[in-house]
Amino acid sequence: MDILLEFVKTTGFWSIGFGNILMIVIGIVFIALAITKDYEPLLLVPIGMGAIVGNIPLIEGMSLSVYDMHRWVLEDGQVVYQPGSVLSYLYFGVSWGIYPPLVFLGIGAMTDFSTMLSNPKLVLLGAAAQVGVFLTFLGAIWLGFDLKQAGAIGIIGGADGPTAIFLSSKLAPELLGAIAIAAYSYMALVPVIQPPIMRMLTTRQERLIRMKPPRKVSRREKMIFPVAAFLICTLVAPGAMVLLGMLFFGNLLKESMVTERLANTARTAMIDIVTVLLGFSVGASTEASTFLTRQSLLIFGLGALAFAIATAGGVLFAKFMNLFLKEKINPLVGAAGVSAVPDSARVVQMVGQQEDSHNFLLMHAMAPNVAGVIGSAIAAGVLWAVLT
Amino acid sequence: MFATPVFATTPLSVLGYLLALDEIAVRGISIAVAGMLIVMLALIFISLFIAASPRILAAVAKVYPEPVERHRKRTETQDRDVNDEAVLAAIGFVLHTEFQKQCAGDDVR
Repeated sequence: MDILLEFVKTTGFWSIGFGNILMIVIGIVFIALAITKDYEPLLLVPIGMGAIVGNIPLIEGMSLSVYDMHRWVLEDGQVVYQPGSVLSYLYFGVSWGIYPPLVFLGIGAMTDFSTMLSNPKLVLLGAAAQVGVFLTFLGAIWLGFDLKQAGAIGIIGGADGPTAIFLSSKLAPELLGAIAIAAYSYMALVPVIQPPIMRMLTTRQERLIRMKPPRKVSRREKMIFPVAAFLICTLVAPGAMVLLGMLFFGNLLKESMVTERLANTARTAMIDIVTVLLGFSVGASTEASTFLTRQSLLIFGLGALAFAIATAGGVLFAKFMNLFLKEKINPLVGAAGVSAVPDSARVVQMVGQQEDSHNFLLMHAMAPNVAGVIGSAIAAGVLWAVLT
Repeated sequence: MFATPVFATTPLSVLGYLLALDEIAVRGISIAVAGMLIVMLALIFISLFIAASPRILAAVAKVYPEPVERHRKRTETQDRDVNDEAVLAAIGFVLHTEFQKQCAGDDVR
């Protein structure tokens, strides 16, 4: 009987807390949203499952959690190596910022910069939307976070999960779980967050604006762009070297036409493997005791604010540009400057077509969308450089 | 946030002094303004480069004309695709012939 009682004490039913149950429910909600609503399934399914795994109560003395890192301990006057848990090794790629640059390599190998190259003025919308990053940074300071934590929280406004993880692993590792979950949750909710803001800030006439089809871009332009853009960006902001180096390297693999095999691996198998490891280990890091804090709630609030400000910044800047342009830009396109490739561009297309079913904004929206990826990586590089 | 004013040395710290913001807030505002300017500047440079590149490349093309289409070696996958098409065509031909024979047989009966 005693043995049975001892065993019952080691089961999860005995030691599970309210926080763990809540986090498991959140994990199930993520999975359900991905399956039923098709909200970012490639991210929400691994994160949701990771959250469920990470909130199973631990058995004392067993190395199971992502936080059970390997270490050296002093035992009987000797230094002994204690291996970490399996999950902690998977989490290494997150905590050391290894996965995000690999994701960027895959994104680079997938991205076609043609629309951006055919209409360079739309690049500025990608910069304008980064106002969300810096205003949220100030908001976080106002709420009492220190500068490093505020920088890591602000980058949620860049609407770029890998960038948010990369920067928070460098500036505020203690907030990494909350920031990653907030960034990916809001990215999944782009189709819910953006449309009301876009409609509120534009008139029907503006939403009906049709834009000229993009010009054909030569092969040489596409090949030269990744090298030139990398040099420009990193000479201005060297802190962005890692993320942008991998992004443009991936794009060079694609556009050079001589490394098709490498480009193909980067945009398929490799990015898939890294996404699985990243999503699952981030999910597993949301252990209730470390995740359910007042700080996490504030981070979620600031994250929503960051997305809203970034969307508004892009739309308003497009309207501002229209004051000087002969060929007007549809201001909805500005909302795609928040990055979140390609969801925010799809949202622009959807909102545009609700007004005029023959207006195709998707290809125009892809320009600020990819510029937003570059912009958020530069913003991360600046914050990393200044706050380290 | 609203703590002891800092000694005013830069325009932003003067602003901080006037608004009685603390040192962290003033530093935060400086970082935010500088960061936004740097992001804007980098993307303006990229935009200018993209705008100039067709003209630069047109000039370069006069010396080194862009090849119309590069002849690339067929990959194994492409070869396999071609073979697959040939096999499918052969299967289709055989099926068609057999079907016609059957129809002819039905007519005779």
